[in-house]
Amino acid sequence: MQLSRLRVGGFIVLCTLSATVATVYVVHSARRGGPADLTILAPPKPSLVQHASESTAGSDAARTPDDRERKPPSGSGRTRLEPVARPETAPRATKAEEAPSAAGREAAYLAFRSTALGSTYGSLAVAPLDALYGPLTITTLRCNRLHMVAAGAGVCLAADPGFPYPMYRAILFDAEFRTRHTLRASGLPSRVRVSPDGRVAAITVFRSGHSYTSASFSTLTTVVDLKSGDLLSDDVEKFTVWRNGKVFREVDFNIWGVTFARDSQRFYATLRTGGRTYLIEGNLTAREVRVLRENVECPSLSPDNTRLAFKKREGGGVGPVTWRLSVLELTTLEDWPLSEERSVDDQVEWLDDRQVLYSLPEEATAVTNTWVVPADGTGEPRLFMPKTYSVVVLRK
Amino acid sequence: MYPSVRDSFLTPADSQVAAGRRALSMRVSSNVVFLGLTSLFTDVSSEMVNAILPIYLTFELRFSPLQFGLFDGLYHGVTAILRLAGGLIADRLQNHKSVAAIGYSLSVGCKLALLAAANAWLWAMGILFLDRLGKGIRTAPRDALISLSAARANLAEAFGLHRAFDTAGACLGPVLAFCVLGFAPGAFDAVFVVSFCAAVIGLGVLVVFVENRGGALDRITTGSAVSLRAALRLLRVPRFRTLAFVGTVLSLATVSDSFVYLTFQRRAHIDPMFFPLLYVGTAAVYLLLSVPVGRLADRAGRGRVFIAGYVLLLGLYGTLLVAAPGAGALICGVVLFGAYYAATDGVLMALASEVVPGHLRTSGFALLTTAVAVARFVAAVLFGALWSWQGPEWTVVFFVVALGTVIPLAALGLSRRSREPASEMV
Repeated sequence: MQLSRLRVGGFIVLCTLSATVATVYVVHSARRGGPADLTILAPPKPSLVQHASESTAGSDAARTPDDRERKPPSGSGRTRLEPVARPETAPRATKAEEAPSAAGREAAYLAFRSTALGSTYGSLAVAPLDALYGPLTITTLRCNRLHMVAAGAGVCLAADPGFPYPMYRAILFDAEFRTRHTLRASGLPSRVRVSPDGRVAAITVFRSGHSYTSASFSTLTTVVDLKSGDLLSDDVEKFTVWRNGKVFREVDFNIWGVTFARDSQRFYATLRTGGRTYLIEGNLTAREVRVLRENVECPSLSPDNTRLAFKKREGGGVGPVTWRLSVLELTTLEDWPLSEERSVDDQVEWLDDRQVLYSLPEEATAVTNTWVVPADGTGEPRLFMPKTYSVVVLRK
Repeated sequence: MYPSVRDSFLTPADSQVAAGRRALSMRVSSNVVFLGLTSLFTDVSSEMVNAILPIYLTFELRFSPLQFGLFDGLYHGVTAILRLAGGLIADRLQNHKSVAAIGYSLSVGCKLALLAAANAWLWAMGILFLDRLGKGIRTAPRDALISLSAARANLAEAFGLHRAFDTAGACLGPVLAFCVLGFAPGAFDAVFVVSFCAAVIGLGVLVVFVENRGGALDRITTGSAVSLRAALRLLRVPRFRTLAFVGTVLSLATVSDSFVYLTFQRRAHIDPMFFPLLYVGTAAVYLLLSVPVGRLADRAGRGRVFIAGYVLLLGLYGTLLVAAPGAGALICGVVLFGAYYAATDGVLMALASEVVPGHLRTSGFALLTTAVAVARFVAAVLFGALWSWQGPEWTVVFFVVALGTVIPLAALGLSRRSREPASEMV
């Protein structure tokens, strides 16, 4: 084989150039983002909690209010979030919520996935609701989706870079953000809700091939006991489904987006079959659900348990599916659209009984921002907190 | 003196070996190794992107599952269309390398374009569609080059070597992608840049080191032209027709990869942690066996090894039927599946190299692989439909019966084929 020296030389130059570009870009990517959005004052501590005194093995439900109040230390957080352009409207959104809270300013927190680019991308962070732009605490957990209750128990759904394919895990953590149990999840994390009593959680992941053609995705919703890590239900689709007084059963059932009522027994979720979505109401102990109405996805129960915020499917077909944020009254099952006109693909979180929080991706980046909009269909959406995703309001 | 018809199927590599019998026992020409390296780098590049695609599309581009499904369908369905067109052009120009290079270049460009696509789901879909087109264009001319670069006696080994490189690249890609994401969390653009660089190196190897091999000799000697009609006329050649028929019918009774893994997952209740190991295990077995099995095929008979591969597949179906498979059954299944790939994938192309004249090599390959791909697609749809209707167990039994019936027929067809005189081919 006759190869001119020029061509071989050219090839060597090409390889060197490619390798250099790749290396430089990766190193640059690893470093960027920091200065603009997130200033790391010191390396994050391995545990969120600064007060080492109460690493008790006791039950979380038994925690005293004092424990709770001291837990996310407002001043000693290691990381400070300084938004470049601080939206004037955003902090005000929280002010309305403070008044009813009897426990005072320190009582309510916001837990979320930080999407600020940089070394803390994807980390679970906590900020006091009345000082969202103040110091915040960053935990060592990295979550794609999370939910927790104020008493401390929570679930962090993580998608880890892993060999040879990503590993999906559900990390059940305690009040100190320490891992109690790690469960392997069989797909991409989608939704998670912890029951108000902190005992169980419903986890939804995407599972491909479930409907038996590789061209379609489906979901798997499981219920876990947060204390023991045991699966209470390995597939909620196995619950008895009732529709119009009859048992309803199809092979293509998919159930996702659970939200728990105050009694931690009753729950609402989405059921999809035959190309339609339904709102279902179920009972965990009875292992039964019944169909309430059509076209409700990812319901989220208001704190007073009277309304459901959800995404209502519009469009579809060949074009992109869009979802309109809506709220329905549980007594009448009638719904109304909220003033957010952009498509929202999220299970919303109620900030209080009057406003809901949801996330939207920022154009052309991996960053998502959390927005707030009144739940009665009035007003206008406002930016609530930038560079956050999967927010959880930790109420007293 | 004109060479006989049979001699006209000798490739340049054959004549080299025949004439020189060079001291170095280089059974496989360096061209095959370089084509393998090209595939390795290109596969590293594509699999890097594929591995993060589910995360990227649903999280960053906000695809709905429906859109993802739609996209997935397009993504996999497109390959077949361009194959034949690319094949005809390559044969007509007698320039397999350039057509392959166009296919590889398309993939390089797409990796760069993905960077710019960012939030526009339609754009991202369009780009990945183009990437598939690139794959459709390059596969047949690349296989033609391999077949024209290897001595006739070592065809299966040459294909085995190439597939080993290819599989190694596919295994390395995801690892590299997650190294990048581990180092720079959330930096999907960095993955695309690294992927782009890998694709550039792959294209570089092809352009600089791979030599073009034409079947021009055949055209001169046989005087036949390259046209769609000529390519389709291949179907009238008994040996080619038999091979295409055998390949298609066997593929109709073949369960697709994802269903094999899904059935394993369902029946074995495997800890999802070990689930990816099924893919890796299969790839590793394929990688290890593809050269030795290719060599075996060259010695013991390619048709025999090809049929034996499907018998191994039948064995795999057997492990799928074990009620509650333990680790032993799973390992057995993975080994059988990897060995099945090693015995059939490259060997089929080696078999085809024997019967497709050099000047129609690319179009003939394109015709054959398209038929096989369509049959696989039909089998996947059938399997899915049966599964939702009757459940996995019944479906697997159905496929066992189907494959069990087809294998003897295929064996009969192939053995008859080998007895047919070669002169009927042209």
